[in-house]
Amino acid sequence: MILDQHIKEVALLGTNRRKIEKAKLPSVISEAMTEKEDEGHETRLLNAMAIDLFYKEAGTVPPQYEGEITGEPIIEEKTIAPIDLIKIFKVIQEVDGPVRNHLFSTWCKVLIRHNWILSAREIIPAIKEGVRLKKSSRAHVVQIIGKKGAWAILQNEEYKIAYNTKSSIPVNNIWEEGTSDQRYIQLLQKRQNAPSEAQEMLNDTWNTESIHDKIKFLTAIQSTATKADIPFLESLHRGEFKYSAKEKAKQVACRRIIAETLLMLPDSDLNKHTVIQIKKYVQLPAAKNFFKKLLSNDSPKLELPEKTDDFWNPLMMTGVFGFEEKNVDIGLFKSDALYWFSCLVQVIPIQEWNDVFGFENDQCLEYFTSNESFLYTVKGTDYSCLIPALKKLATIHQNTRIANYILGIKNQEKDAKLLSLLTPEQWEKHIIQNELFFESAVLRSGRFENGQEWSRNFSEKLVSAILKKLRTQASIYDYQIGQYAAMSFNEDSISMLEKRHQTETSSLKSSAWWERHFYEPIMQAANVKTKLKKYNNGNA
Amino acid sequence: MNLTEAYIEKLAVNANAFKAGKKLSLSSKWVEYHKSERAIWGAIKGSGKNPYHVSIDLQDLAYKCSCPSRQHPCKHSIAILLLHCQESASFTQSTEPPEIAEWLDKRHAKTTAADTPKVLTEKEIEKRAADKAKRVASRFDSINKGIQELDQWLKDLVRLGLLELPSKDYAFFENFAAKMVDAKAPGLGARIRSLNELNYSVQDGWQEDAFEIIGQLYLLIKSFQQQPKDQETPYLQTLKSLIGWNINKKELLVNPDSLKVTDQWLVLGSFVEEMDELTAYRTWVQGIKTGHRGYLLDFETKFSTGPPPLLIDGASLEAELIFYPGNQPYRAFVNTQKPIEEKTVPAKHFCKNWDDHHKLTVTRLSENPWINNQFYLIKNVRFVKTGNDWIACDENKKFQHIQRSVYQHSSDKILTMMLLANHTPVGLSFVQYNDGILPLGIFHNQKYTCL
Repeated sequence: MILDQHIKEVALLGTNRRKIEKAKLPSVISEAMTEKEDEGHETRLLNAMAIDLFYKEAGTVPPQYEGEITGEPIIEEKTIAPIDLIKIFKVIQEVDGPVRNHLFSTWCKVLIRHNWILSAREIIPAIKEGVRLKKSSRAHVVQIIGKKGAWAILQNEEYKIAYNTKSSIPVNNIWEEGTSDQRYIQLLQKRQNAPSEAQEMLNDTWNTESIHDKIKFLTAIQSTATKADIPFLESLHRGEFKYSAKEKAKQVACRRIIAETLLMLPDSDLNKHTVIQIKKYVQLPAAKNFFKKLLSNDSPKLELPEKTDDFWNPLMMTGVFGFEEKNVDIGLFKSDALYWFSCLVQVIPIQEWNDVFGFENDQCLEYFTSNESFLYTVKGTDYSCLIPALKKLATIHQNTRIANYILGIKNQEKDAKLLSLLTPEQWEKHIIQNELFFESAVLRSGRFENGQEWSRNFSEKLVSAILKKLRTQASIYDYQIGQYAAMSFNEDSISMLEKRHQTETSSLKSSAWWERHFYEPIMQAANVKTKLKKYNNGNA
Repeated sequence: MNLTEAYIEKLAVNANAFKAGKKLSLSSKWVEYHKSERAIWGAIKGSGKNPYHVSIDLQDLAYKCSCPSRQHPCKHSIAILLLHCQESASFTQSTEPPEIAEWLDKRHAKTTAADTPKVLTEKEIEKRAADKAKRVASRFDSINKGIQELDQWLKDLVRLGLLELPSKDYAFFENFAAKMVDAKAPGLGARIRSLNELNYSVQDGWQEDAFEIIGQLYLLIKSFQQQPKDQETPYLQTLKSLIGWNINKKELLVNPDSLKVTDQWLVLGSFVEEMDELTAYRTWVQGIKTGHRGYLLDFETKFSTGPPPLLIDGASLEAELIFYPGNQPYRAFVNTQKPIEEKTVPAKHFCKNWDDHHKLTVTRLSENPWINNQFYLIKNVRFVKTGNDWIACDENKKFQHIQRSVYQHSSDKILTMMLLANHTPVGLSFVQYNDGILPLGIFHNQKYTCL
C-alpha cells in the first residue's frame, strides 16, 4: 500500500516545513476533504491521511499474474494406506528415543510390503520423521510417500539435502548421474547380484573416476572380495598404484586397500609371496615324533628383526602394502617390524597363520594373544599388541570363531563389533554368562535382523537382572537399556513382564527408573507391534 | 458429554501433559473408577503415599484432583478422560460420593445463580438506571477529554513531522498511552503503544505502518466526536468497542437484545499468539446454516483458562454464539456447545474470485474502516510459486500474496496445501492482512482440511 507522495512528504517533514496543497492531491481525496476556515494545516493533513488510507485499502484491486501456471495433477498408482495404519503412525510419534526409529521403520516396512502409500495429509509428517531419524529410515520413507512426496521433497532445501543421500531418491541411471554414495551402494548391490556386470560397469568408467571415488569403490570391493577380483586388483597393484617417489597420500591409501584385499585372498600372488617371506622369520620346533610333540612345551618362534632388513623396511612396506613407514605406537609395538606384522595379521586368513606356525584349531589365536613376544603391560596387566589386529581380522573375514575367542579374553567381553559377529544363540549365551545386561551398546550389538526377537529365556533373564539391580540401587547409569530391549523383547514374555511389574515394583529402591526407562518403552513398543501384527499376518 | 481423544488432547495444557495422561490411561493403572449421570471419578496411585482422587464434571466440563500438580487439567484428569473415552462401558455406575456430589451441586448452583438475574424492585431498577446513566455520562466526558488531548498530540506530531518518530523514547508513547487508559479509552492507548512497537531500525520500513496507525487513529477519534451519543446505534457501539469501551460477557448474556446465533459451526482455523503475560487465541468459525461468520478472541492468563475446549481446528460443533454489538457483528463468544461427528462444509458464502473478494472487502470497509482479522472463503484458487514468494491465483489469474510468515521459516504448511490441492483449483479459507493472506484451510472433494 503506497501513500500519495505529496501527503507522505508533508507528513514526514511536518507541516512546520511544508504545507499541504489541495491542488497536489488526487481528486478523490481533495473532493472528500471538507474545508473549514479555522482548520489548520495539521487537521488538513490528518484528514488527507485518513481518507487516503481508506482509498488505498479499498481501492487496491487484485493484481494480474503474468506468468504461466504450470504443474499437472500428480496421479498416484499405489493405494492409500488404511486409516487404522495411519493412526499407528500417530502412536509411534508419541514414543521417545531410539525405539521410535525402530518402530517407524517397522511401520514403513508394513506399508512397503502391502504396496501402500500415505495420503497427502500425512506425507509431510512422514518426511519430517525421516529427517529427524536415522538416514536408513529415509529410504523407507521414500517408498511410502508416493510421487507427491517425491515432488514435495524437491520443493524444500532441507528435505532435498536430507534425502539426497544413498539410494533414497530414485535416479534413472545412478552409475552415470548419481552421487558418490548412491554409486557406492549400486556397486555393492551389483557385486552381490551380478558380479561380472559390476566389474564391467566399473571397468567402463574407472579411468575417469576421481581418486576419492576410487577409494570408495575399492572399499566396496574389499568388503565383498572374491577370487574373481584378483586379476583386476593385481593389475592395479602392478600398474596404476605401483609405488612412485612423488605419489600422493590418497594413492598410498588406494594401494593399501588393494594390498589388503589381495592378502585376504589366498590365491593372489601377493598373499603367496608374503606368506613365504613371513615363514622365513618363523622358527618351528624341531620335528619330533607324535608322542614327543604331544608332551613337548616347545612353541614356534617369530624372530622379527629389531631394525630393518630386506623385507621389513619402510620402502617395502609402503611401496608394496601401503602401510605407514614407521611404527605408529611405540607403547604398543616393540619394533617397526612388529607393527607391520600386526598389519599383516589383520588381513591374512587365520588358516594361513596356522599353516605358517604349524598350528591347529585355536592354537594360533592362543599364540598371538599370549606369547611373550607380543605382550605389553599396563598397570600390571599383560595385553597382546595383536588383539586389535585380530579383532579386525575377525570383522573382515566375518569369523565367528576368532570373535568368540577374543570375547573370552579378560576386558574384551563387551566389544560390540565382535559381539555383532556372533550368532543370536552365541550372543545370548555370552551376555548371560558374563552378565552384560546393563549397557545399551552391548544389548544392541546382537544380530537380530528383520524383526527377530530375543529368546524368552534371554528376555526373562534380562528382566530378572534389571529388577535385581534396582533392588539395591535407585537407577542404572545407562538409561537406554529399555529402549534397545523394546526393539527385541520377546513378545511371549510381555505377560511375564507385566506380572513382575505389578508384583515386584514395590520392592525396588525406586520404581521411577524401572517404569520410565525400562517397563514403559517395552510396553509402548509391544503395543505398536501388536497393532501392526494384523498387517504382518496379511489379515488387513 | 462424550469427548473424543482429539478433544482431550486439546484440553491438555501442553503435549507433555497429554502424553503423561495417556500413559496413565490404562485401566490397570487405576485403583478404581466410577461414573454417574453427571460425573466420572476415580483413584490412581501416584508418587504420594495415598492414591490421588480425580473427579470430572461432565455436564459443564471441570476437573478436580488431589494431586499437587499446578497444571490444570493435570495428567490424572487427562488420563481418566481418556480412559472414559476408550472404555466407557467398564466404568462402574455408582452413587456419587458425598464430597463429589457436594462439589457438583455447588458448581451447578453457581451457574444457575449466574444465569438468573436478581429480582429487583421498581425503585431499585430506577436507581440502577440513574446510576448507569451517570456512569455513562461520566465516561463519555472522560473519553471526550482524552480524545481532545489525543487530537492535539497527533497535530503536534505531524507539525514536527513523522521523521522525528524514530528518535522518540519509550516514555513518549507509553506516558500518552497511559493517559488514554486513565481517560477510560484503552483502545486508543493500545493504538498509541503500537507506534512504539514499530521497527524503526529498518530504514523506511516503519513509515507505511506509522501512517496507517495515525490515519486510523485520527479517523476513529473524529468519527467518535461526530457521532450522536444519545442513541446507542450499532455504529456507535462499533466505535465504543474500538475505543476500548467493552461490554463484558455477563452483560451480553443477560441482554435480550444481544445477537445470539445457534448454528452448526465449522471451525476454520485458529492462531495462537504469545504475549508478555498472556496468550491470545484467535479462532474463526463459519455458520453452515445461517452463514454468520464468527471471530472468537480468548485470552489465557495465569488466572484464566484459554478458549472453550471444543474449538478444535477443522471440527464442527453445534453451538450458540453471542456476538458483540456493532454494525458488522463479527467478534463473538461461545455460550453453549456440543461436538458433532458430522462434518458439513459450507456450500455458499464463497467469493467467486479475487474481484468478487475485493468488492466484498470494499463493502465491509465502507461500513467499518477499522476492520481487521477478517476471514473470507474463496473458490477455485491455485497456488503458484513466483521467485521466493507464493501466491494464490484465481481462474482469471488475478492473485493475492500469501503471508511470508507462512513459509519463511518452514514450508510445511504451504507444501501440505500444495499436496492437498495437487495442482488443481481448490476452495480456500483465509484471513486478510495488509501483507498478504493467512491460509486457514482448504475445501477439496467436499472436505475441509485445516492447515
